Amino acid sequence: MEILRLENVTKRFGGLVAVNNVSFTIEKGEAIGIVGPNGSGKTTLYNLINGVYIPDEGQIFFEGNDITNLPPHARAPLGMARTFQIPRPFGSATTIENVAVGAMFGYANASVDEALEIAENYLKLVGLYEKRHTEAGKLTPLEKRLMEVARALAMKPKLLLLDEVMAGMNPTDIDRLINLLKKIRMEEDISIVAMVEHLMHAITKFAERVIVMHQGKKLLEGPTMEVLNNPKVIEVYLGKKVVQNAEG
Amino acid sequence: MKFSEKYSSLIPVMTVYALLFAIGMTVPGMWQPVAFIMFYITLGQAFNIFLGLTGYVDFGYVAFLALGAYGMALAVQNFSGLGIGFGVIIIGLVLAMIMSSILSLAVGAVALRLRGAYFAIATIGVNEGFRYFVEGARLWGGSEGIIISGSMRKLFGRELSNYISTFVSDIFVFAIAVIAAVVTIIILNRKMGYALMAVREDEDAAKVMGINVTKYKIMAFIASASFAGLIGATAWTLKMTYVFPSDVFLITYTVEAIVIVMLGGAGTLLGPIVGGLIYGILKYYLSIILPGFQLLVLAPLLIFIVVAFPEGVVGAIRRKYTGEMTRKYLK
Repeated sequence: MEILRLENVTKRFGGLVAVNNVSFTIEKGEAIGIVGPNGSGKTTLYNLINGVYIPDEGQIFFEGNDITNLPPHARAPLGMARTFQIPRPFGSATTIENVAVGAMFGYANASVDEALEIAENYLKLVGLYEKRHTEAGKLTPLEKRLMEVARALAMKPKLLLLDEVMAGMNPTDIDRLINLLKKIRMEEDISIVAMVEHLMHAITKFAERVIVMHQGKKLLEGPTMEVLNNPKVIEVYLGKKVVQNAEG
Repeated sequence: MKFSEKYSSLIPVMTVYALLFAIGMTVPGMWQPVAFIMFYITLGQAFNIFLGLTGYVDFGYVAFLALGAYGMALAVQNFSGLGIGFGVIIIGLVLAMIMSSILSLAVGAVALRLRGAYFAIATIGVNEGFRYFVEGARLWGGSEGIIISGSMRKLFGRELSNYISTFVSDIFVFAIAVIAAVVTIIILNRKMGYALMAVREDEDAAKVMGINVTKYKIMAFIASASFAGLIGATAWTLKMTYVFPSDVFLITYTVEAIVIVMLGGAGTLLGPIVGGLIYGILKYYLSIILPGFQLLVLAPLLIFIVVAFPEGVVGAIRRKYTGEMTRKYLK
């Protein structure tokens, strides 16, 4: 069953075409990686999916329903959640309050008391339980990322969009997070899309399928290893010469 | 969370109210200063529901106070012949709330779609605009306003109407302060409180998390405005027994409300009380000790406090002491 479908989506900022005629489908329970160099339109793509931007052309469907023109606050309750490239905690609130907000207004739609309980569980899951009464603004950058993951998970999404969530983490933390995401995906049957710029190693461990973005267009889409070894993808990242040398 | 834990932060608030009330009632000559300070605490408490919880500054806030004042005046003027005695004042209170909340809905539905500073600029015009409208269109007596002292005397007799303006109106203000504090803590404990916290901290992130930010901002705006209406009806109309547009549409009250909320700590329950105490006491006693120079002294004092506690006094305490007690009693 499909969870998300983009049909010929285009977004322009003045003369710049940030996302150019992109179409793809994500199935329920899939683990997808979106990769692409800096400026390839990945973040714009996320903003289009969760409604921060409205596309100039094309349509977006969530579980078969057209959500192209829905504002972000109407999309989240349908079962969509995301994290941000630069974490955006509600700084003066405590960590547990941050996560509880997710549970209250996301698909979970919990009452305040339920939300605080849900928040506790997810904080335990990501390993931030001890910091539950710490102001979110005072967490370390890594902890802020984990808090955002917990906050997004507490929304009980059907589709989770992770924006560079593993950037700046050491390999041990990355492995731990990937295992956690795998486990949650199995247990709760949610589709997870992870967007990365450079952490190919992490993506190979996590994603079943990869979409490669380049200059606003979808360059390639397919099974992870197959796509990442494609000469076109290597060219995008390392330049033509490297590919020629490798071939020659 | 347990019920007692949710509402425990009302204890210090109600203690301060009770202390002030006791001082006013028992110490001779203290009722007037206590009522003066209480006016500012209540104003701060009402404004805090909007400014404190959403982080939006409304420079037109006094317009709601003014409309409330008119609501009470109109009720007394028009219904004093009905022979329902004290019922007129009840009608006045209801009318004050309705009028100020209708205006806030109209202003909010348009202006609250704007962000931060743009909202503040948009609201500056509301107060001045409404004042000139009242004067120019000769609405509600135009610039001559409404004088209700005659109707009040007819309604309640000379003695009782004096008692209402010197004492009962202050009791009303006390009651409004209590209700405003209870409403604030109820909002803070509900989903709405968490939604407004998110709006204050990061409006875009809040939207992405499924929070209908405009809805919650308008709800806070209307709640705050209807309390302003009640304050106008009681602390102004019932106390002064007249309403002149040039007096009630005075931006000074907006500025004072902002100062009080910022002094005490925006978004905290105890903040407006601390702010109101500091501001009210300083203003009252400075005008006695240094008549004419009070503002010259008050301004640097306020600047000093704001520099020392940029998050307000209560905000600074909460940041410094993050223990169990703070969480429980300092919301």
